[in-house]
Amino acid sequence: MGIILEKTPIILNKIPGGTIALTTADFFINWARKSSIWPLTFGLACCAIEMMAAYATRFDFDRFGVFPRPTPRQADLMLVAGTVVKKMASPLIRIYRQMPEPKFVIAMGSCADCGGPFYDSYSVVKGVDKIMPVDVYLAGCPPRPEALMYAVQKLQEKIGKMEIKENSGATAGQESGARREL
Amino acid sequence: MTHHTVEDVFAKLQKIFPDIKESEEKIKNYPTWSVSSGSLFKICETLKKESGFEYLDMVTAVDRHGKVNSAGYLTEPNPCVYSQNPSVVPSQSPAPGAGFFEIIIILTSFSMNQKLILVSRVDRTNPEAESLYPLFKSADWQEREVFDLFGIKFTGHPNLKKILTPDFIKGHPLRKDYVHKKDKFDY
Repeated sequence: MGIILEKTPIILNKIPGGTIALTTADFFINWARKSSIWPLTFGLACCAIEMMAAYATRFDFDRFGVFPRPTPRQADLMLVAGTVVKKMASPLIRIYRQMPEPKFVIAMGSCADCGGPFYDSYSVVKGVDKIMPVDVYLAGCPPRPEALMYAVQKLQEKIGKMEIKENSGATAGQESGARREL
Repeated sequence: MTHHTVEDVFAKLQKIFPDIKESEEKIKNYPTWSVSSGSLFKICETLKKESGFEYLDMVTAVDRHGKVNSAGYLTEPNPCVYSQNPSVVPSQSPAPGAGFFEIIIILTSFSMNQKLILVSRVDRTNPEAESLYPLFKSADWQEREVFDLFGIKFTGHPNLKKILTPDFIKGHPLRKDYVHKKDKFDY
């Protein structure tokens, strides 16, 4: 993602040998953050297939700066792609707590949003927002890769509005680790 | 000693175990025999050692609880799968203990290229059956799954404990009279 100069709070001045740019720290840090969202891929069900398609050549998430990471310690975003069963909930919380701040969560698909077709199941957590704060809800069963792309763009919009004076960008829910203590 | 057809096997088995009979409804058009739960282990042993049914495909169970039509579907669907108030048990559900479990075992003979289904009824109040683990090591996890979801105890199993559901889920979810109690993730 390049910088669109017309939409940027930036002062440009030519000096001998090049250009000097003056901008706000908020804009610069947010630009860096939203241009390199590294997601931890948490593929749990069929949504993971669409997520893999989004990483592959036809949709090519790399051009957004989205590189899948295999470890929570290098990840900014957790893509919960699929049905979260109750047995998987505690590993999910544990991995979420290992991610460095600021961290974001996209709930991908109906199951991660609200339980989806398993709304009355005995074994499914009805929405991943019951165990961790969610930034973007993405509907669909499963959502197409274009929809996942749109969700990442919405997250980029959200990151663009963050201010460094408050808790280095983490929301109150993210600070406490979970919306409700389990 | 191997037999050429599954009918030969059946005729031979019927001499040793008189309670074995052809089931009224065939499952998937395979030969389906209903056997008593007491002789299930011995029949499997005979089938494995003398008739070449040496591969255990599957162990599963069915809860025949309440009114069921010929296809096996409940005529009155259980209304309390996920009950908001678990203390209220709907009145149309059958009395506890009514009905029975069916343990279903699918065996395969590679030499005869034949599958065989054994159906065995067990009591619903205190369901118990003999484990097939001494015959087929692959019965280990499948019997644990049946134990977890139906609560059928397999005597002689070396490690009979929950395999699928987490520890805080009490009860056996695939029983028709299972009522889900709210746990820490249901709110």
